[in-house]
Amino acid sequence: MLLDNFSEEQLKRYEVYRRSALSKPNVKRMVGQILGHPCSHNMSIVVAGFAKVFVGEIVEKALDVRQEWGETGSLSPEHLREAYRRYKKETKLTHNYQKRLFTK
Amino acid sequence: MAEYKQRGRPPKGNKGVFTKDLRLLMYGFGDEPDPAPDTVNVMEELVNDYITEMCLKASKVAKDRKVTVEDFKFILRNDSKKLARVEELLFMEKDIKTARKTFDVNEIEN
Repeated sequence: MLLDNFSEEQLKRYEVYRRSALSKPNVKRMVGQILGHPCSHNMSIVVAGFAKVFVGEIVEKALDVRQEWGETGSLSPEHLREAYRRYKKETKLTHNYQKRLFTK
Repeated sequence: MAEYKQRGRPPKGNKGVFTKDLRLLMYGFGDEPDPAPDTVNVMEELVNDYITEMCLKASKVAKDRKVTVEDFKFILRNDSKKLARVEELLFMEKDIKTARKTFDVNEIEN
């Protein structure tokens, strides 16, 4: 029902959102090189999968940054860098919480 | 993991391994239909670093074993979004495999 109300542009973007992915052969090659043993079919699916989520998280944050800075147009490297800074800060929060349980 | 800004090396020319894919991914997630090349290069670096970091973490967990999918699920234990996506993908893959098996069995029987 939500899809029925999408504009042409939104439908186009949604289709690309659903279908786009990091190429499995490239992921397989890269992971195999880093791990030093072959990357299985399932592993390439898993890594491509969470890497896609990562890209999404960075882009979403970058869009926020762009809006906060009152800018328009394509995302810039600065938007991404600031987005990445915020992403790292957020991920540190979950780790710190766990650490605090065992220290003063 | 080094911040991009502190690296001495500039983005790797025009084409990274994932350039084509990243352009589509970025558009899909909300960027302009034609993302800026510099920006895509930065994203490529971020993704390469991220995948590398995750693989190294998984290696540490696996120690002397070969890395498995379970190791990746373990290092994602605090990242509910990514973990959920991974479990969904593995579930779908299982489904596809079973569907293929059933299809092959039917083929043979006929």
